[in-house]
Amino acid sequence: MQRTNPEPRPLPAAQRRHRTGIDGLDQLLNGGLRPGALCLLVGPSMSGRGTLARGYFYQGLKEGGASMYVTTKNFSDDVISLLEEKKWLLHPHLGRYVFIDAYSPQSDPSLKDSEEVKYVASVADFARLTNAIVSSMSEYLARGMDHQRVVFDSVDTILMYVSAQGVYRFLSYLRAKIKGFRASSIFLIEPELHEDRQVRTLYQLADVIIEVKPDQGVVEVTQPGLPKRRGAYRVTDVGFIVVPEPID
Amino acid sequence: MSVFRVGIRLVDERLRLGTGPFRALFISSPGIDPAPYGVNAAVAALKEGFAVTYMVNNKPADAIRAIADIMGFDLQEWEGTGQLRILDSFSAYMNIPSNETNKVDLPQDVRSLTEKVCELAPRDGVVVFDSLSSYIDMCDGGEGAGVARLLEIIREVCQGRHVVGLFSTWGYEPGHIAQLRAAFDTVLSLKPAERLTIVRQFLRAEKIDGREARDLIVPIKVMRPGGVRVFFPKILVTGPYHSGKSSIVHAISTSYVSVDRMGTTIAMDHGYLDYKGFAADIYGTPGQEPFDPILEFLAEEAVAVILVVDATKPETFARARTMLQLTKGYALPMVVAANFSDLPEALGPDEAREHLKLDPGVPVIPTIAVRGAGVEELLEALFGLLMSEERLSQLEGAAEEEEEEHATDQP
Repeated sequence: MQRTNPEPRPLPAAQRRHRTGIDGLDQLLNGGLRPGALCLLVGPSMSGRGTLARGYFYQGLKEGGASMYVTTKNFSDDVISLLEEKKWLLHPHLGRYVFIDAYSPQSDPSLKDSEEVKYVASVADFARLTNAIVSSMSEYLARGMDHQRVVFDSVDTILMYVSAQGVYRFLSYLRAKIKGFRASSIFLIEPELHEDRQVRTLYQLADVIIEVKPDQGVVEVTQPGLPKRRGAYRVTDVGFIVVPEPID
Repeated sequence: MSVFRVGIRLVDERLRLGTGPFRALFISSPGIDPAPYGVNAAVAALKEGFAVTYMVNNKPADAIRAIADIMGFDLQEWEGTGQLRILDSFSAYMNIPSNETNKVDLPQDVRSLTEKVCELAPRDGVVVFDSLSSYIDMCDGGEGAGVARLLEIIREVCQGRHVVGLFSTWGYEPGHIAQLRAAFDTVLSLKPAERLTIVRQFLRAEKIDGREARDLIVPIKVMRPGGVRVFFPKILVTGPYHSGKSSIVHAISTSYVSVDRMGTTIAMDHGYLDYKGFAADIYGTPGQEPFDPILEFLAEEAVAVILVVDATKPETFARARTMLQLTKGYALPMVVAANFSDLPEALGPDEAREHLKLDPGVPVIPTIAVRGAGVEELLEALFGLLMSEERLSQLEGAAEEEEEEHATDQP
C-alpha cells in the first residue's frame, strides 16, 4: 500500500510569512517577510523602492490583514493617488488601513484626524508618532486582525533632524513593538544621504535588508544566516517585477 | 494667592501642601504622548492666574494650540492677554521660518535658550518644557552632552519659577534618567496598563514636592474634550425593576444615552460622568428577570457598583441581593442609592442596609433621582471608596506586576 503524506495544515495567520505580492521577491525572501520582521528597504529615490513598498502595503489588505503607511515626506493624498495609479484601490478595504501622515500638517496645521488618516505635526515628535502607530496596531489587534504590516517612508527625513542615536532609540522601540504585534515592516532609507556610520548603526536593527540598485537593475536580499540572493527588477504599470537569479 | 497645579486632582491636592517653587516632571513610557499632560498643566496654571511660558521644540506651536483645542481649551484668550506665551523652539531646528511672536533662534545654545525663556517667563511664572527628551535627541554631542545642557537650563530657569517638564523614556542610559528625575521634586510616571497594546494608561506618582508618593497610582485618561482625568472605565448601576436605575444614571451623568422602550430599560443605559477631576463611563443594567442570563456578561470589567433600590419597597431587596450576586457586585466597591427617599414609607439608610444584609461600611445614600437629590453625596461616597487606601494598594500591586513585565520588554 502506498503511503501518502497527509496535507500539511495551513499555519495560523499569525505565523504565516507576509508576502510582498511580488512573486520573484517573495522567492528571494523564502516566501515573504516573517511576522515580526523589520526590513530595511535601501535604495535611492526614483529607483522603484516606493512602488515596492506600496505594493507590499496593498498586499496586506488583499490578504485580509491590516496595513499602516507612515509618510514623512509625501502628502497622504499623494500616496493614495500613487496607489490608485496601479489600480490598488483602497475603498474595498475600509477599516483595515490607516495613513500616519507627518508631512501634510506642515502645510496645513489645522488638519484633523479621520478613520483613515492620523496626522502628526512633526517627524521630530516621536511620542506622538509612536502613539499613532502603536495605538493603530492595538486597535487592529483588538478587532482580531493579527496580520498587520507597517511601511515607514522614510527614515531619511527623521535623520535630517534628529541625531542618529535618537533615531536608533526610536526605531529600536518601534522594532520591539512591531515584533510584539507580530507585524512585519518595511522602513525605507537612502544611505547616500547620510553618514556611513549612521546608516551602519541602523542596519543593526534590520532582520532583512532589501537593496534596490537601479544602476545594475537588480535587487539584493540579505538575511542573517543565508546567502545573499539577487534578482533582476523593473517597474511597470502594474507594479514591481523581480526575476530571481538562479542559485549557484 | 495662586496655587501651583498640574491639573490632576489627586496630585494637586498634595501639591497644595508644599511651599514651592515647584518642579514637576511627567515621565512617560514610549507610545504615550505626554504633550496633552503638558497642555493640561499649562491650562491649570493659567486658571490659577499664573503667567505660563510653553516652550515647544518637537512640533510647531500651532500643534500645541490644536492639542488644546481637542481637549476643549481655547488658548487664544490667554495668548491675547499675554498670560500665555508659546515659545517656538522648533522652527529653528528645522531651518524653517517661524510665524510666532516668540521664538528661539539658536535652540541648541544653552545660553540663548535660557535667556529667551527667562525673558518671557516672569518670576513665580510657570514654564512648560515640551519636550526634554526631544532636546536630548536633537542635541549635538550625544546623550550625555544633551542631559548636561538640560540640567543647566533647568537650574537657571528654576530660579523663582515653577517648571513642568515632559520626558519620554526612549532607552536612555539609566544614569541620565536618574539625573533628570533628581532635578525635579515632583515626578509623575505615565504608563500603559497593558503589556503590548496602548489602550488604558495609569499615572504613578514617584514623589510629590520632594516627598515619597508611591501610594498614589490611578487610572488616567485624556478626555477630548475635558482634559486629564482620573478615569474609571466602567461603573455599573444595577438594581430591581423600577427602582430608578435609569433616573440615577441620568442624574449622575454629564452626558447620557437612554435605551428605554415603553417605560423600561431594554439594554444598557449609558452615561459619561465628569466630576471634580474624576471621569467614568456609567452603565445601567436592565432590572427585569428575563435579562438575568446576561447580567454577568454586562457586568464584566466593572470597577464599582451603584446598587439602586426603591426605599419604599423592602420586598424588592431580595431581588437586589440576587442581582448583586449575578453581577459579582459583592466583590467590588459598592454604594447604595436608596431611592424615593422623599416618600413617607421610605426606609432610612441604616434600615435599608440592614434589610439588604450589607456590611456596616457600605454607604447607603438617600436619593430622589428624578430631582437629582442625594446625587452629590452618592458620588462623593463612590469616589471615596475608589480612592481608598485599600483600593489603591490593590492597584499598586497590579501596577508593580506590569512594571516588572514591561522591564523585560525594553529593547
